[in-house]
Amino acid sequence: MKLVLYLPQIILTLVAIFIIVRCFISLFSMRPAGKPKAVLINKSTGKKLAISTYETSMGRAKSSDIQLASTMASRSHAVISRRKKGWFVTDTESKTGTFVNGEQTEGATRIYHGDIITIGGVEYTFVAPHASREDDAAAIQVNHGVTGYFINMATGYTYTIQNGRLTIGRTQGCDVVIEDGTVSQVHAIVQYTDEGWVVTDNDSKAGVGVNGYRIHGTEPINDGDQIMINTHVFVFRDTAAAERRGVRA
Amino acid sequence: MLKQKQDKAPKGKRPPKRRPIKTIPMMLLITAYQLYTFSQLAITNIKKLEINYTMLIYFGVFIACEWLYVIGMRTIAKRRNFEIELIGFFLTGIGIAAIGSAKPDGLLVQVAAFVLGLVGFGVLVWILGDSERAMKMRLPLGVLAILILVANIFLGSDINGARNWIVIGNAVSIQPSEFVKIIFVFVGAATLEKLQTSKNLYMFIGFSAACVGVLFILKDFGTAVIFFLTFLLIAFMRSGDIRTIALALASAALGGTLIAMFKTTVKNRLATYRHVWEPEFIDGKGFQQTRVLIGIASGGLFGLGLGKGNVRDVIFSSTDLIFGVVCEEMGVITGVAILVCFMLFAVYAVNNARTSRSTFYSIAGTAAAGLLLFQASINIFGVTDVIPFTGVTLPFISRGGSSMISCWCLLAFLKASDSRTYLTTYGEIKRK
Repeated sequence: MKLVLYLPQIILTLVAIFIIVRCFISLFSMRPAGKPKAVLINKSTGKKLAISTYETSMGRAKSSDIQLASTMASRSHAVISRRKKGWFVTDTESKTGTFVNGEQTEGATRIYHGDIITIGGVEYTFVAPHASREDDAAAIQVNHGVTGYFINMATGYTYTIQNGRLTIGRTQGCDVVIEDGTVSQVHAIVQYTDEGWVVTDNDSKAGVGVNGYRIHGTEPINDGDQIMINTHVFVFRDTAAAERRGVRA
Repeated sequence: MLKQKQDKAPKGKRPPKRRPIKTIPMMLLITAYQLYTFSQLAITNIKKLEINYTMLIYFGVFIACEWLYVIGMRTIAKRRNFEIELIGFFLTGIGIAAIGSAKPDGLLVQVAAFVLGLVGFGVLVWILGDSERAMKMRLPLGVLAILILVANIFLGSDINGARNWIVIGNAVSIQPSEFVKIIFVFVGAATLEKLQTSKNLYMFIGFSAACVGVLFILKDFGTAVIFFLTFLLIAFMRSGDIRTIALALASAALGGTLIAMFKTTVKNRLATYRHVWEPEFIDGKGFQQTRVLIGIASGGLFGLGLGKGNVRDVIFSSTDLIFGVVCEEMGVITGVAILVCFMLFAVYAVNNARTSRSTFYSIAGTAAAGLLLFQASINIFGVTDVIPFTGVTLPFISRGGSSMISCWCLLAFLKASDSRTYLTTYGEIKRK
């Protein structure tokens, strides 16, 4: 009898634990930082330094995100940051200064794909998707022209993204229609934003995956990423990035 | 758009099952939990169906505000991630239930403060959306913080031994130091974000010293300790260079000075610490701690049920001793779960630092989570005699309007540190 009276308290406690555990699991289920957002390539050695966070500090200090070996580099030399407008390098009061294409920087200086950054006497080539000077123009043109496409891995069908936006789902109004009951009416949306290309899980039941990780809301995507709509796998191609690769090749 | 071909369902690899929560079902569960806990208090006699309607209205307003926020943010701001807010709602709900048991008169202020806190949360998340806007605000806010604290010296009232209250018209009393906490985190993070130039560093040390110094003059010892620990945390976020060593030295000097200044207070606190069960203290200076410990033991793992405990009759049960009320009436497991929430907030903030959009967000998020954890730990370990007892509130749970608003605003820093928060502003998306 006592147990019956006590039962609601036990259930209440279990519900409390469930709520906390479920909310925190969801909170921690964020897709980890994937491949580097940009890379610095040492011009003399060819060594690649990955820049995988929005702000990356560089210097001789152990606390720097990228620890430099050059004795000419200061302990805290420079910070490379990703902002809404693009990539920037900021000299952090170093002794020998930071240079972009031979010119000494003052304050936050915008950098582009292919720029040469000199830090502590060492030259690095800055390599970043969506960060070329041409991309600035491409971002303006995105609402007017073809800028990317999707390839269905199973069927090989290609879907062109126009006007910087593409919808994927079961309903006939979608740009990519998937006749599968497990796919939601409007399952996912791909669009070009200030942050570059992003994919959004439109509250779908089965979820959206990017390179094997289930996403949570909206996530950025890059050329070559695999987008998973339940069991359907697509490869995203960014026209601008593909053209750049073609030029380099 | 070109005419698209339709796909059949081919076999492929499924995305891994790490499902984010569905907001509405989780909100329904939280509401069900709150309805049950509130009903224990609002229905005073289930057989005669006697209902306390005043209490029912407060609980109703609280739940309605939660839903209004979620629906509003989903439809207007197109937000999709609500985990932080849901945990906040859950903790606040436990607090409101405990206050309903310990001091029902305080429910009106608590619910009103929750609404204001939620508004503050929304506004702060919006302000933090643009880091440049946030940077511009740090100097005026820093000056405002110092002015608020200094005004407290002249206008403040002495309540419960601390001169940290400003009473307006004998009706409304506010605790300015609670609001300074928000500014402290804001300015601290914004100052250090400027890449550690010496000038900024000294400015931050000066700002911290001024804040902590005034708090000690106000005899608000508990809050001063929280500020000091948060200062250390913010300073530690940039460890590994000579400037941090200077910060640590400054901190140690500051800490030493404060202890020397408040030797008598510390001495008094330490007199009862670990001796609360001795005959000379059990019904005297150790009265509160011993009653809380008895309450925790009598509540057991699952609690006696709301309104059935004894800790609620002890003085300051709805503020400093609220942890005892929660443990006795809702169970030790729920009490421990509250502390775990604050610990996980801290882990989450540190975890966010990897993907945060800038150092400002990662430092602000970690500092806010750290501040909440320090405050919760000082309260919980204080009332259970693990550390010397000092009067600070348990975030989200204790009664106190200023504290509630402050807690929700601090939560905004955590929300802002999550890079997903501002990625989901996809205004064009419409469901077909």
